[in-house]
Formats: sequence, structure tokens, C-alpha cells
Amino acid sequence: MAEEEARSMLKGLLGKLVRVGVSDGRIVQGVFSCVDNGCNIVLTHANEWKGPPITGADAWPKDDELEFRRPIGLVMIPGDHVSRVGVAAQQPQHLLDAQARSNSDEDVSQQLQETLSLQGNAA
Amino acid sequence: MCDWEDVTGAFKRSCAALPLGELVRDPRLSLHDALQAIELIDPRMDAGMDVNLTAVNTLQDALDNGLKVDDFSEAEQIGLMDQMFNLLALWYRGNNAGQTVLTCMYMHDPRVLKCKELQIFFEGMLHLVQATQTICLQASCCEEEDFVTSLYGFDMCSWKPFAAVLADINATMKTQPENVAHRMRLLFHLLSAMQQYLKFNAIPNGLRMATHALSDLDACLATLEAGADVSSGERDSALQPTINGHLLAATPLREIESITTQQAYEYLRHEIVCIKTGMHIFSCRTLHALHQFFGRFARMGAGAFARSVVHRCFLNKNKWAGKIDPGQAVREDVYNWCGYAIMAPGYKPTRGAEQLSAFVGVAVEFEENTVAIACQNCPRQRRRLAKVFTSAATLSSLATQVDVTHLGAEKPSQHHPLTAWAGRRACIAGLEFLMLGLELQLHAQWELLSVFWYMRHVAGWLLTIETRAFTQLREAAEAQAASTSAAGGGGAAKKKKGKGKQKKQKQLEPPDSWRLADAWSAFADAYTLALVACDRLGRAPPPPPPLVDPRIVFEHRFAPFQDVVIPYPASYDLFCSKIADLDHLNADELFEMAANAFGKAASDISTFKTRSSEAEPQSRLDALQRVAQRNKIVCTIATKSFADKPGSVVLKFTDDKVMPVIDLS
Repeated sequence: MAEEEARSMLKGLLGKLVRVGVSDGRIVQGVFSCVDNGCNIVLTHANEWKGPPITGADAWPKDDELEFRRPIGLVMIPGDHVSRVGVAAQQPQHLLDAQARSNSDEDVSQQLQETLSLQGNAA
Repeated sequence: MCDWEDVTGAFKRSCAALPLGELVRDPRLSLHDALQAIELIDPRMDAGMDVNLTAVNTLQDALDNGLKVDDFSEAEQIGLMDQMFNLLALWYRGNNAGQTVLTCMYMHDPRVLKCKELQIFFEGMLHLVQATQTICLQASCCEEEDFVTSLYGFDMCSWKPFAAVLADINATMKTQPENVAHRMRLLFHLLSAMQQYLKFNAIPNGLRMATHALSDLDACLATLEAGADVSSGERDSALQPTINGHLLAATPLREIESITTQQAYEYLRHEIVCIKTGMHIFSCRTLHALHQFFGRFARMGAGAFARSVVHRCFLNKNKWAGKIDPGQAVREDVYNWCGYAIMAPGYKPTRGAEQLSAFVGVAVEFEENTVAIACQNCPRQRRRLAKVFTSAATLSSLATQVDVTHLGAEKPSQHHPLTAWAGRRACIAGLEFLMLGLELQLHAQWELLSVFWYMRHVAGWLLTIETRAFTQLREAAEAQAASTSAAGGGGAAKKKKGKGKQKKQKQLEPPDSWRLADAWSAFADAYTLALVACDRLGRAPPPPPPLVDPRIVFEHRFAPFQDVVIPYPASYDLFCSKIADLDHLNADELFEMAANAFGKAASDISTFKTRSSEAEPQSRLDALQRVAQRNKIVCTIATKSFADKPGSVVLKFTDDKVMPVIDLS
């Protein structure tokens, strides 16, 4: 996979609701915020569930099949312990809104940078 | 509720395609946020981590997975037994029972074993674990950091009494092959010793039997060879290191040590040697002897179990060492030290009896606390000693009240006998505190000057007090001898008087503690002089980092001493002014004085060794003497070879850690 394609795929997941299967059987669900080359994942607003261990072939359990929900906030899952990654087919509306705001902020920030850079060059 | 699309493959491939070090990150996630993230599967951060990853969670699971219960070969039996002794040693060394002795599946219920010998062995092991826990709980002189007493409510062989298991082991070991029998014998002796200790209060010859059992045990351990370090499949299936994960608190598991079977047997043997030494406590008759005994025992490096056994022997039947009356012992100690009449045997005070008994009560408590400290591990000894100073202050205050009442003095004085005795006890505790600080290497190089100066300060006080008490005692003896001489007459009377005089002269030799205090004083003096001399030549140990205020460090290091009246709390200003007093001496003179002081310390230790070998371990005295002699030579040649060399002098601790050697290189 080309570097740019990989980057684009991962950037597409940022701010989305994802689920990560952890090697000890837990499932952690949260907003995907960061990842690196070692597949170390940072999730914000995360919750964890304890349930039967999942394997690659099984489908993701439904919400009501999961037990012992516990909010854990901001977490980092080491790549060695990531067993599965899933993304919600339908993202919650508030996340989509936040994403839109973030993109718009990013655009404004980029425009500001460009303006400052132009001013600097002119000076 | 929503559906989930699995992207594992694409996600992992994408991550692998990223250049090393690049982050794909949401701009809303700052570095500050990222630092606060909980790292999953890190036992220090992840409280929800499931540590119980094994497929085997219960004994039944293990049996279903084919845990062997019969037809054990000799090698397998030896392997299992060695492994159990290894786990026992690990437990004794402070690891959790849930991670050591209780990880063996057979310990969960030995009755599943159809091999009779092993069943009996594991039943014995359960009783051994239970007995150890009982002794350690009764002694209560160890904390979780060096011994974990919890057995998590396991059934410790309630179906078969101790005596029946002991009899079974005794009968079984006779029919076993030599190597198996040897290990059974070891267990038998361990159990016998435990049994005697657990009930030696109740039976008259319990102590003799316990000592006998210990001798057998030591002999057994000495001849035992760890035979089965070979990997054994059956042994491995019987041990499930994570089996008891659900028993332990949801806190990070403490990583346990790994030792070889040979090391485990050596550790058990060391514990037995410490306990055997600890049995000498029963030959102590006085408080002074008890202090000497515990001073020696504290430096043996005894484990938690040995310390618990000895502590339990000390506080037995509300007496010290089973027979010494605590109040009486304190009175005798004061009387033997300075001949204070109100502490004489049979003396009935006409006034202030309540004050006197209050003093004795606090003194007993103080001495018990001090002794209990010797049964702690080394770092905790120092922490506890820091707290002892508070009770030393109470003791000193009560002593002053008694002195004023009984001597009819107008105002209190530190030279009054009981106040001086309380001060002496505080000084001894203070010296011990400073020595432990050196042994544990708690001080930076630049701090050592103040430590040695303070040691000199405390040892100087102790020497003054001891000298005064000895003078009082000698004057009293001379007065008594003179009155006897005046009253007596005739040949027979003269003969008797001569004998009595000889006896008194023999008793009136300076006490051992005096000699040792003299040695500490000489040591501390010598180091202080040597360090000041190095400073003169611009080669003092490196100065403190710029942000560290030596005054604050000084006050912090010696804060415990603020509680005691004697010696007076020394301040940083006093320290600086005393060091400034040496300004008129040049480096050569200072080094010469330091060499002389080291020589005096070596000579004091040598005298102490020949006169009183029992008070301190011989190896420690030898180490001290070696350090003193070496430092003397270093200081003697220092001025010739030292001045031209660059860099600072370093005080290095040898393996003995008793006192540092001066390194000029």
C-alpha cells in the first residue's frame, strides 16, 4: 500500500466512532484520534466492555450482547494488543457535526497561516 | 445500536505503510492530552486489565486438562518437591502466596492425588504454610512489603490434623527412595520445628525440642542437593503461575522473583541459621545482654520468617525472652550502669513512687520498641528509629522529674543519673540511625561531611555520659571499699576484704558500649578531618547542585533528632561554626590528625574484638578494622601524592557497607 493511500485511509477514520478488540478480550469503543506506524491507537471518550473473547472470523457483538460497560476516557491501545478494528457503519450525528466544525476550523487555520506567510513574504 | 464494519486488515496494512515516527492525528488531540491517556494492558495504569488469561481457572479445569494424579516417576516427584520448596522460599522472601505456594494445583486440594506419598507431602506443605502464617501474624513485625500473610481463605488441610500429617510423613519417608525421602525428611523437620515453636509456651521442654528440631533441619538442608533442575512436563502442568489472578486485588501484580532450586535451599538454610542464632536470646539474662544480642541479630540479614520467630521468642508470656521481668531488667540496667540507689534491687521509694513506676513503664515500652526495630528489615529499621526519638523525649522528661524529686535538686540537669541514662539510650539510637543511613547509602558525597560531624557530635555526648556514669560508679565503689576497710580489722577480715576488692575491681571495667562509642567517635572525627583537608586542597567531594540548599538538607536529615533533649539538637549554623574552627590548620596537619584518628579507631575496634566478641558480629568488626587501617594509610600518604592530582576525592563504600574508604585516585 502506498504511503499516501495509507495516510488517506487513516485520516478518513479520524473523529469516527470505532471499536478496537484488545488481546485480553475487552472491546474498547471510542472516537479514533491518533495512530502511528506501530498501530498504537489513541481513542477519546472511550468505553470498555468485557465480553467473550472475539476472534477474527466472528462478527462484532451487538451492543446488547456486551456486558460491564465502563467509561475510561482517553486511552492508548498498544499495537501489539490490537486484535480487531471496526468502524461504525452509521456515525452518530454529533460526531459528524464535530467533524464538520473541525474541518472548518482547519480550513480557517490554514487560511490564516497562508495569509501570515504572504504578509511575511511581502515584508 | 449500529452495525460495524470490520477494517482490521486495511487498518493494520495502512499503519504498517506509514513512515516510522509519523502520527496520523486528529488536530484536536494535543500532546498534553495524549500524555494523559491511559495505556491499556499496562498493569501500572490499566485497572481493568484481565490478568487471568489462563485456560485453567480452577483445580477442576486442570484435572479436565489432564493434570496428572498418579504414576509419578521418582524424577517427577523430586521435581515437584523441589519446586514447592522453591515457591516456599519465594514466599518467605516477600512474594505473594497467591503467586507462589498457592500456584501449585495440588495445593488447592491434595486429596485429588492418588499418589499417596505426594498427597502426604502436599498436606504437610499446607500445614507448613499455615504454621508460618500463624507465627508471622503473632509476631506482627513484618509488613506487606517483606512478607504477605494472606492465604485468601484457602483450606489449609482442615481435614487432617497437624500431628496426623507429621506421623504420616514420618512413616512414608522410610519407604521412599533416598532422594525423595530426603525431601520428605526436610519437610518433616520443618514441620516439627514449627510445631515446637507454636506450642513451646505450653510444654516445659519445648525450647529444647525446638532447638533439636532446628539442628536436624540444618543438618538435613546441609546435605540436600537440588537434584531436579531438569524440566519436567508434569511439574510444569501442575504449576499455573496465573491461577490465582482472581484472588489478588485489582492492582498491578507485583513481579515475582525467579530463583534456582539451589538458591532456594540456600535461602532456607540461611533462615534456619538465623533462627538458631536467634535461640541464643534465651541465654540473655539482662537488658544489656538483650541489646547486644539484637544488635548482632539485626545485622544477620534474617528474612521475615526468621525475624518473626525471634520476635515471638522475645515477647513471650509477658516477659522478655520467656523469663526476664521487663521492669526489673530496666531497673537493673540503670543500677548496673551508674549505681543509682533508687534503682537498687529491693529499694522502696519513700516519695515519688508513682513517678518512678511511670518512668519504668515508659522505659519498658521504649526498650521493647527498640528491640522490635531490630526485627524489622534494614530500611524500616531506620524509619522506625526516627520515630523512637519521640518516645525518647518522653522518657527523658519523666527521668528528669524522677531525678528532681529523688535528689531534691532545685533544677533539672542532664547530669542527673536517670536523665543521663535516658540520654544515653537516645544517643545509642541516634548512632544506630546514622550508621543505618550510611549502610543504606542514603547520602550524597557532599552530605557526608555533615553526617560525620553529627555522628561525632552524638558519639561525643555518649562518651561524656558513659564517662560520668563510670566515674560515679567507681567513686561509689571506692567509698564502699573505704567504709568496709574502716569497719574491718584482723587477718581474716583483711583476707575477705581483699577478695571483695578484687571482685569489685573486676566489675568496674568500662562497659563495652563505651569502647564502641569511642571507636565511632574516632571514625567520625577522622572522616571530618580528612574531608576538611581535602577541601583545603580544592579536592572536596563535588558540591551540591545549585538548587539544593545545604541548610535545608541538614535540617531535613537530622529532623528526628529535634525531639530529643540529649544531645542538644544541632543546627546548621553550629555545624558551620565548628567546621570553621578548623580554619587555622593546614591540609598536612589535618591529614595527620585524620590518620591518627583512624589509627585510634582501628585500635579501639581491635580492643573491642578481643574483649567482647559477642556484642557485634565478628565479620563487621573485621570490616571496620580493615577500613580504618586502609584510611589511615591513605591519610598518611595523602599530602605527598595527593596535592598535584586533579579531580575530587570520593568516599567509596566497600561490599561491607560499614564505613566508606577514602579513594584518592
